[in-house]
Amino acid sequence: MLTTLQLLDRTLSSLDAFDRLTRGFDAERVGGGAASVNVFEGERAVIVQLSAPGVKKEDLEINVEDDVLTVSGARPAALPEGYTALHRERRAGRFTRSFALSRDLDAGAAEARLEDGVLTLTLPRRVASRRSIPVQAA
Amino acid sequence: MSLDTTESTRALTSTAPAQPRPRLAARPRLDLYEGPEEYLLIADVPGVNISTLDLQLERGVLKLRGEIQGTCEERPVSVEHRATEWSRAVTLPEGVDAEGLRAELGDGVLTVHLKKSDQARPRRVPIAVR
Repeated sequence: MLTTLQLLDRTLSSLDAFDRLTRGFDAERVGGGAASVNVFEGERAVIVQLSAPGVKKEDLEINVEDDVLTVSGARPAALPEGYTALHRERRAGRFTRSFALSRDLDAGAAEARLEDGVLTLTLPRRVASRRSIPVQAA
Repeated sequence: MSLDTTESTRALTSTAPAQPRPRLAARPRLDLYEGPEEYLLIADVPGVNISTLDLQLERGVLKLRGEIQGTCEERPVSVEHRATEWSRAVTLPEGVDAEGLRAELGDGVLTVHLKKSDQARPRRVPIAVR
């Protein structure tokens, strides 16, 4: 079966390869980094969940162009004023993730929700327009 | 870090989604900052809301744990993060006042204010001019 949503960006495939090697060993990778994505397929919709901790609604941009869905955003490089960094692991800066949409997804009816630092995109499938043609007896 | 390797390996090798979801903990990324009055611990815990967040301070170690909410029941086709909870233990700098601990959670980011004890705060020593 064809996956209706393809992840375009290169980082994913290299991540995946690395992931397979380290499965079960690297607890941090299990959690995924900022802007890591999970994709789910349902009968009625495809659901994309993107980790975006610390990202505000106004710093997110979601576009669909030529059947490519792009989510980009920014995380503030917030060094709290008057504080010195003792230890830093969290990354700041811009991120972009792109997805090729199959024709059966209705991007125009997509919904986006940002909650607890997770962006959830719901891309409904187009309702198949099936029509039965009655056969008339001669 | 409370990662149960046996459990997580099982979770990763099974092809069908198990019911109920096996526990799988991941370490959140965190920053530690020092200010004149307090330390600031900031951790990325996307998917955690206040009702499933647990913070414990014991003998200078801060343990944080939060369940990741809102996972999808549909068939996963591409998975980059599969943890069901964030969990990490942090050894705090010396001189933290255990009573003066305050935490905020917003947009999947946990901020813990760790007040310095009186001894740890910088003090201006007056020098008398003779």
